[in-house]
Amino acid sequence: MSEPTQAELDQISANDDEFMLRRRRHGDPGIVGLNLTAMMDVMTILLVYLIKVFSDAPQNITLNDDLRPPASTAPDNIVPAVRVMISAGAISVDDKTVLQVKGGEVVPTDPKNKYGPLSGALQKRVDDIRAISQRTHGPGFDGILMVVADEDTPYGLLADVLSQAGRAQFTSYRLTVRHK
Amino acid sequence: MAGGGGEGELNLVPYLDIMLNLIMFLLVVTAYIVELREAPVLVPTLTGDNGPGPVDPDKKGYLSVVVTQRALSIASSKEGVAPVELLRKGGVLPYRDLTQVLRQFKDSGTVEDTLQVLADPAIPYSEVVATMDAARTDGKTALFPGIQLALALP
Repeated sequence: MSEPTQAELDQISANDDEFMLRRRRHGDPGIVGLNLTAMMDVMTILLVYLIKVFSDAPQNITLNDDLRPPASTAPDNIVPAVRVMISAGAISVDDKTVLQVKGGEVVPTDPKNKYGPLSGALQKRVDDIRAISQRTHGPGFDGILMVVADEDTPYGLLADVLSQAGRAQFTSYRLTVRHK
Repeated sequence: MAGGGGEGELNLVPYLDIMLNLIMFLLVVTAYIVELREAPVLVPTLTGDNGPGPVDPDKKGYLSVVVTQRALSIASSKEGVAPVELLRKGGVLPYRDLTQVLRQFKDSGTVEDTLQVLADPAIPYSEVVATMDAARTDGKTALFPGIQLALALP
């Protein structure tokens, strides 16, 4: 594309001057500052939406390579409850590690009572909930256990954990899965 | 406002900066939020009511699905019903075939709505969950909404 000649540039400049002159004659002050109100509205709505999405996320479950629940079509939403997590490296009760896991098997701290720390932690949690609900006249212990397990966890290990939970008087198990 | 005009307009720029940063942070974080759901399971109770007892031919039977390294085995507690075995195909369990077989059992009206799932101790948890998914619904209607997880092979 060829560059404009001097005559063409003069013509454009003259047109611009005429345009500005016409605007001033009609009392139009032109652009004096950017109106941010509309942008603020959009951003506030976006912020509220994102905060809502963020707060709707279930209990703080940090997923990683060692803890990746299986995908499932299960339709139920997550109900807050006592949480047992079985990752590739550890078993934890409400984010407190109670047992180490290696190759899909528990590393026993006490060979006579392999799952002792787990059953102790679950029982303590149940006792705490009961004590709190007694003091606050709350709803009490509902017996629900939320199980977050890695997809590669052997079923034998899962069954052992559920069996220990049963001894600690948990009666309802809810398996946490990734929504498919 | 320092150096500003006499109109005393609110300076929105710092506020906008904060909002923009917050939005960017939340957008990035929400991209990593994984939607989690729950699969409720029943477990056998120790009330002593579940004993075998006398067999009532008119009573509906209980179905059980056993997941092993070799296949999926479906068996009914009702007498005279032959068990079905669905072998792995290329190492993968045939979940679609399982759904079809369970649909046939369900339509026969001879089984209860509760299904028992058992698995070999070495079976990965993901295969148990996939079996439960295949048994819960066939995509159109519910099959066995109540799934009992058995904790040990008989």
